[in-house]
Amino acid sequence: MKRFKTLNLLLACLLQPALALAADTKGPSIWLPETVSARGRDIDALYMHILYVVIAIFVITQGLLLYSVIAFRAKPGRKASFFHGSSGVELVLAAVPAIILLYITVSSVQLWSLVRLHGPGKDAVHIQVMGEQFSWNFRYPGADNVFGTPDDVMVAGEAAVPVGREVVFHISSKDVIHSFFLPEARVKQDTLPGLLGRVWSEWDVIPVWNLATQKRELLTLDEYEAAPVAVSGYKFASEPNPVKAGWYQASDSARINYLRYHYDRDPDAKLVVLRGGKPVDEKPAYVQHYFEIACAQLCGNLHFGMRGTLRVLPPDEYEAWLKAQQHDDFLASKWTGIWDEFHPEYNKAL
Amino acid sequence: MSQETVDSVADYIHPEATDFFHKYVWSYDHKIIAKQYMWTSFLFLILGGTLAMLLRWQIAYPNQPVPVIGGLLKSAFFFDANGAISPDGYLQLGTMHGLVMVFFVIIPLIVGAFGNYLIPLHIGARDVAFPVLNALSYWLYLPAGVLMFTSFFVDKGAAAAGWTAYPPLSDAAGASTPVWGMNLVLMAVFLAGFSSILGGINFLVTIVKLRAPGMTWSRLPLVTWAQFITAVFQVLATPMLAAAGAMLLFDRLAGSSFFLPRGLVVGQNAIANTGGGYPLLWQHIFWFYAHPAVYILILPSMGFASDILAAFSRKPVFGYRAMIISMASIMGLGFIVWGHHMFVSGLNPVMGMAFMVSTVFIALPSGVKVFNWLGTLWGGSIRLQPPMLYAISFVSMFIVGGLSGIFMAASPVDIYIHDTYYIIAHFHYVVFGATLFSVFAATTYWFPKMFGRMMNARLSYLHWALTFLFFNLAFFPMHFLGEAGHMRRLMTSTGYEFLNPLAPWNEFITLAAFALGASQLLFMFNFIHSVFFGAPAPDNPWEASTLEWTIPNPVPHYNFKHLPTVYRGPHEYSSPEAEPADWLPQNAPPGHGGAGH
Repeated sequence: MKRFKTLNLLLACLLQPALALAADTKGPSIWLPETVSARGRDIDALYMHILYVVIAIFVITQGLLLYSVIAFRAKPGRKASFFHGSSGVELVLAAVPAIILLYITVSSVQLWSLVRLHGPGKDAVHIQVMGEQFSWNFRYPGADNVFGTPDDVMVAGEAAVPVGREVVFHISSKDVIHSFFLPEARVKQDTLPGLLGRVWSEWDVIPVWNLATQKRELLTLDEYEAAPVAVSGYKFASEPNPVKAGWYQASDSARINYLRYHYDRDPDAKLVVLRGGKPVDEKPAYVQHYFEIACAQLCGNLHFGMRGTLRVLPPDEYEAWLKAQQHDDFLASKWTGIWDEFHPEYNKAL
Repeated sequence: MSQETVDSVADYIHPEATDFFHKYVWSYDHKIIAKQYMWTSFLFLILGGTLAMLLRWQIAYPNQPVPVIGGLLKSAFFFDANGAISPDGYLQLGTMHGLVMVFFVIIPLIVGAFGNYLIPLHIGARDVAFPVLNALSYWLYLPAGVLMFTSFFVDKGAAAAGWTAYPPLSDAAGASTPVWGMNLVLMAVFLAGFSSILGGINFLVTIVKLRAPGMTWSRLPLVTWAQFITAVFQVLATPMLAAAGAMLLFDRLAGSSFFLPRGLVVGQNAIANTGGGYPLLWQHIFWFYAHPAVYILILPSMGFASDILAAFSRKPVFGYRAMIISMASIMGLGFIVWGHHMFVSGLNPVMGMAFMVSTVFIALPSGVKVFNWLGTLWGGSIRLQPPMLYAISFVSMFIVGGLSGIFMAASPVDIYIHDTYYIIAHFHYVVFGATLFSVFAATTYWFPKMFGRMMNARLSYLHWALTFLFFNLAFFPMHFLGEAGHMRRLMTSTGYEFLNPLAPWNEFITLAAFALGASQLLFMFNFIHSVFFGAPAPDNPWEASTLEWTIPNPVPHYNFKHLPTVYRGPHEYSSPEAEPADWLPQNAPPGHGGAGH
């Protein structure tokens, strides 16, 4: 965001080295995960902006505290000065933070209205999300673009969206409150039973797994089309990480949950590699991967396992993915028996 | 009333009890009730802390049997058949840790114990306005606490819906495992709320009506001012908690549906008593209480820190009036910021905007207080005795907790960090870092008056150093986890690919938390040992100027033999009038000269 630039630049000169050091440690990443959308970048910019201001205030106040304690500690012969305060100083000390706070408020209000009040465009993809103990259900409106009709596509746990288009999630819950959290998109919204919420985002990158480095990467559509990407034939696996992250880590048995992930060739599955949307006969550089969908609101004893995945696909692959989904009566009954039955108004939100 | 009748010890409001039961159990004496609160809440602090240790074990070593305890309690309470924490058990631990710490440790400790002990002494009174009501407050609180822990023993265990108890999870049948545990906990919180309201009314009347001659509003110690404003909070906000708890109990026991909307299906089971309810209603009512409650948890601590910083800097508090005005504005604003807990909960975004503005601006009075504390130290002659170290740490930790709050106030950023470890870091910096440090400050500072003995200074220094170190090692990295998107209340985060790399951090935090917990044994030992074997304390060991230090040790039953007349403010340190001493008691008449003359 442009309006942050001057101050950011100034503060960044002072603080960036320290922050870079913190973010670039050999251990696990403790920084904001790389974001995927314009709104996400705005939120990160605001975050960084507040961080700089806060670090400056932190250094000044804690520095003054430490200085006072050292400089004014009792010594033989020292006598404290006797004063009850000063209205002038008091006024300045209230006015300066007030100006800083006003500035943060104005920036936040602008971004908040951008993120939450300005609706998505007409061309958006609409998806219904139904939270349930302990999984995420998704419904796509199908060719007629109307929810609650026989051509709807329903999936559980795994969703897909097209890259480069706005996606609107109409969210609610059938039982308790969940929270629909897409960390990389900086989207989070509680799903309340009895109330339909709406969040939207747009992905400009496609998550893939780099087979050489065995790490996730985010590719733009152009980069994706230029590379050989395996869409099937590989399986995701994990094992306890052989490398300790620090001296404080206990023996292997206790580290069993600190994992190393990798994709391996699955001999039972047919290998399909695409480049620019067309099948090619070459060694893949990447495997198609996904973002994770998390539940961020306590929703019961298995809350920690309420995880879903979200594929971001090129437009043609997205259409193919939609077509490939099989109808499942049990899944459909959740939508028709609960949502369409009790909350028909949900289906008119589109 | 003539001066003679007020001043006569014989006319004291209630006679000194002579039998054990009326002296130590059903006592009307505010000093004894304060100590009852203190011992009880310290006991609950140990229990609540133990719950946190178990939580941290599970997070660092998911599904590994808990050493020793797990082996002994297989399949009991929150343990599974292997002696590891079960999924239901984990939520019970988290829920109960939060509820116990807020309602049964911090509020009773800073308001029940210190408020009770200090208010009458600070204003020059012989007891609170309603001594019987005061006893009743404690005797509502203790059974409530017992009820709270009883819930662990009923079938399917204690409440497990988080301390915020959001319905329908806390409400709809089958949504969460516990049945009677949840009911008992609601009843316990209901009782504790009543105790809190009664205490608040009592303190308000006491401060308004029982101030000694000359104890004007602008001569009240800041501890008492803070207690006064806290009492207003308690009286106005806590009834909302009672209302919320009652409504939830009606839903659970009487088939009403305040919080249950139509068409609720848990698993395959349609919930019978649904329709017409609104889950967000609970959040509004709950946070309308619980946000002011956050200030109930911090305002008295601000009071302790203000008076202690002044006493050990040998200087008047910088901006006494500004301190009071900022506390009052925190109270005023505190009632209109509850919606910032609900930015992503389904609240209308326009409302979110209004709450964001009010929330950002509550940082202003807090900032004024920080600058005034710094101004109090500035130019002082600082004695780094244990209470002072704790009080300075309070300021330092409060700054961290306050600054991290700005991120949450900025609602677009809050979208991302809401319900992550960022929040946990933030409120532990405020409630543990700030409030508990001020409790340590207050305990070491007033211990000589309360128990007539000194706490061991060396042990206090050591406890301070270890607590400061391990507290920061345990809680500061939680900011990093929050930045990485690590959600709260996860029994284990290792199932998420994006959280798995954080497992070593969780292990590090757990080790620091264990060390932090172990460090508290030092304080516990120091406290208990000093109560019985500490060196006898002089009447005014810190050379402080407020009224409680003019009373001899041990404090007589009626506090003041003659009701004092107050001539000056509470922090007249290093006044030229006091030469050659550097402090003037509040009751020293003008022209009296230095203290101790």
